[in-house]
Amino acid sequence: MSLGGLFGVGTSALNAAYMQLQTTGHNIANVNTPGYSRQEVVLGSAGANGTGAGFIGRGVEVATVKRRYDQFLNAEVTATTAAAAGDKTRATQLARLDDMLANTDVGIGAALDDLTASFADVVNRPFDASARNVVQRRVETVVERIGSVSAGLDNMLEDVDQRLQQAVETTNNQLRTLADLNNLIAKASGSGQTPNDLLDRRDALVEEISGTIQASAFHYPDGTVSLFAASGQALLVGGAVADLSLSPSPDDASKLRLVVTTNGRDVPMRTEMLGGGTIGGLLKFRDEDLDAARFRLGQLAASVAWTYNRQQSLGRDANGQVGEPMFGFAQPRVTENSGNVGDAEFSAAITDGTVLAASDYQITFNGSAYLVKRLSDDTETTVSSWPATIDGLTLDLTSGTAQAGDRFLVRAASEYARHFTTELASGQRLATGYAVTTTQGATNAGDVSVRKFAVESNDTNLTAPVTITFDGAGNFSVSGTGTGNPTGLAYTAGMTISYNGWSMELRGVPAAGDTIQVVPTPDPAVDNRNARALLELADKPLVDGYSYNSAFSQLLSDIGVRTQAAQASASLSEQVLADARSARAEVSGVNLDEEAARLLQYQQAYQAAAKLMATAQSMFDTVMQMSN
Amino acid sequence: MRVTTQLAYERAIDAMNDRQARLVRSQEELATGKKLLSPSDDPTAAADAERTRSQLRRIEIQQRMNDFATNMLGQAESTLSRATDLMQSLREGFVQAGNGSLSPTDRGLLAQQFRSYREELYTLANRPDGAGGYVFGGQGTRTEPFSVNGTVTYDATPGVQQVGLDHDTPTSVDGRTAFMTVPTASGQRSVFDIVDDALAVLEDPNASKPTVTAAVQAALGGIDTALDRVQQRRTDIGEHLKALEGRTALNETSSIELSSELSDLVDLDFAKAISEFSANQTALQAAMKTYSEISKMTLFDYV
Repeated sequence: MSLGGLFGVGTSALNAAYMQLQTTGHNIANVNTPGYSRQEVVLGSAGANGTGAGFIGRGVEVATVKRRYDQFLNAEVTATTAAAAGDKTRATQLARLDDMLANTDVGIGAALDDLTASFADVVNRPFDASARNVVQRRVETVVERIGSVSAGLDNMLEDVDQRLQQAVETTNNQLRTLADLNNLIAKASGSGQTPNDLLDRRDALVEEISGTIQASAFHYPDGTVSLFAASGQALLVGGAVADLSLSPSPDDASKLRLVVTTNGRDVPMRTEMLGGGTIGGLLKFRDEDLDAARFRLGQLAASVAWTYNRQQSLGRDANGQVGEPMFGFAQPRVTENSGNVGDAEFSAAITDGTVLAASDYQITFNGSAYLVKRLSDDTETTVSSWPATIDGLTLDLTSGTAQAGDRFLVRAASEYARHFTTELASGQRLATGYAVTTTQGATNAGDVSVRKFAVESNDTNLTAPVTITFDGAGNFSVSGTGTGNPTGLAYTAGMTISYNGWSMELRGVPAAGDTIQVVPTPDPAVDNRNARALLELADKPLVDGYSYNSAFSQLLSDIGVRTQAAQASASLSEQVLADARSARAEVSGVNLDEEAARLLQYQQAYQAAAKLMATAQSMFDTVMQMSN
Repeated sequence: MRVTTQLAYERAIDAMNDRQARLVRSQEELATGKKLLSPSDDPTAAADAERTRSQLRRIEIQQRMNDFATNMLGQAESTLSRATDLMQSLREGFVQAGNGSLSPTDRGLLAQQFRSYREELYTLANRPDGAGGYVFGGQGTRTEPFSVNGTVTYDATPGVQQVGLDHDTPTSVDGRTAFMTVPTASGQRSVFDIVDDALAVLEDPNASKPTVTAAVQAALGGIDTALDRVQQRRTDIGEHLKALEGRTALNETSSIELSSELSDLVDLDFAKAISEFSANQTALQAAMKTYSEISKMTLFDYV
């Protein structure tokens, strides 16, 4: 029997306790380190020496230091991080859009109502210059409000682009760091022990990447990982690191799309291929929410401009001139896909501004027919001959021939609110009057009269004098340029007759020889009839079946609903992420009280081992004294 | 369940953030007096509020035109009332002048008085409406509607100017039907011509008695018809004023209803909001208190 054995046992115990204390210290030190997994020392008995009297233990052995870790819980956190980041990004962006429209007292709807109100004063006093000038200023306010929302949408689009650029740069760096970590881990694992802290850093990095572009890791036995996007596209496999970049979309050069390049091969990523992550959230916001707002704003702007301009053109201004447009706005345009083979070129023009849809369109040629798709709801129309009119928009093939697969983007509603301008130069230009009016014959004996008179088009004969003569026996004749001078027409009270671009509803009972004349308005500056027509526009369903105000209300509620839904998704996915983190922390997290208890436990073990050494020392001294 | 230190702190901080956010929201609502701060707070209510706000504005627009029409028609009524008085004075005067016992001198003196009535009638016919136009402006004119070119002519476009959103309400009187087209034995004549003809005879010292009587008779017939015409206009105007009054009352009622509807949609229920504010405040205080208590407890204090 030798005392060396006792020293050996004591040393091994001292060593083990020291390592345990050091690991506890490491845990305490990393209590707030993100992604850190609690480590613990794994001990084993050092075995025993066989003797005739049995096996005598050799002490304790440190097998390894392992991290408390569950790969599945970790994968769950990575996945939910992507979902939460995507949802949160979209909700944050939408909240900005929502805020932009929040103050309805100074919104587009209020500006449109103010414009309508200003017509009331002109109806009351058409030749009052100040009332006319108020209209001109209210037109400017409408333009300013629509312009400011449009600019706000543009700013958000720019902001999305910048955020995408930043996300792509960060992710590229992170992917390279991940590749480096993979190498370090492979090397460190060669020793047979797991490099816990490197693994933690790696897992944390995967989680971070997944927050930007949804990714999942495939684990290899040597501790390294491969990384794949939600669509299965490789982001990192072996030494091959993908490079993310943004490039203009071939359909619409104004929009950037994400391209993943692996081994020299470019793979364009559609939004739905991305799943969650900041990039997915940004693209979803841009392509669904921002586009929807842009479409609705454009539809409203175009309908307002087109209908006011049309009514203005049917009237005469204070100088007796045909009313000039009140508003200016960007016309629709067609851009071709950069990959088109044929040389076809298309044109687009608004032919009926009252039925415009809140959408852009895509024209595709399949080799035999053209398909026009409305992008807001994917409704398709087959077109066999050009020009074709869809939703008030006339599309025409102006030159060239399309080849199968060629695509064209019709930038319609996305375009209209741009370059929205005031064209009404002054109040004097407001067309308050009609070019023609009616008078009853001075000697009329019956009570036939004109109830509603309207100008419906600028016919070349609009101002030609016309006389309607009643025979008192239920018939009438019409004479004047452009009417064809019909005679013997049957009269019924309430009937509408139209010639030369005007129409009138007649009522009452005419006596023989009674006449109604249509004559040029002597002084359109004092006429308020077109001003009344302008005033009434706000009540009419001129925005694809809705009034201006209803259309604006729909824009408000659409953005409101989207924001509300996005916020609900964000708060739900955040909760799911919190649960996943909590489940992981239950396994991997550090609890300081627990570490304090362990500290005591290992300290005691250390003290006991030290005592063992002291005992061995004193035994050795005793033996030495005996030998003296 | 193993509770880990980092998570415990994060949860506590999240809870405090959440409470704080709610408190700030309550504060914002109380400060603005509105519960609807942005469309996402209640998209349906936001759209309804926008429509209601617009309807309120529409009522204001209608009322603006109603008020103007009421003002214009009120003036028209008082003008026509004065015209009636003048025509009646002329009528009574003509009856007196038709009395065969008057000497040519007396007739001449009476005629002078009649001429002043006739001049006032003409001035009335060209009365400005105080808003840049004329009471008898027809379909609208910037210059006086009646002028004298030998005889009185009506230069404005016959008819009326109208305002209104759902209704057509006249804001002028057709001067032609009011004064110009009085049917007489010799065709249509203006009330001025009728009076002028009679005055010419009355002022003629050599006019014979039968001539005077005939002229007075013709004038009386013409004035009676003219009075009828004016009376018809006044009845029309009365009807329109009555309708305007009704619509104004209706607008007031609708406006009150819509305002209250709008208030229900966007305005804050203060009692409820204050109690919510207090509840959120208490919750935040509790979160802070428990946080500080929990953070005090650590085994390291006993090691």
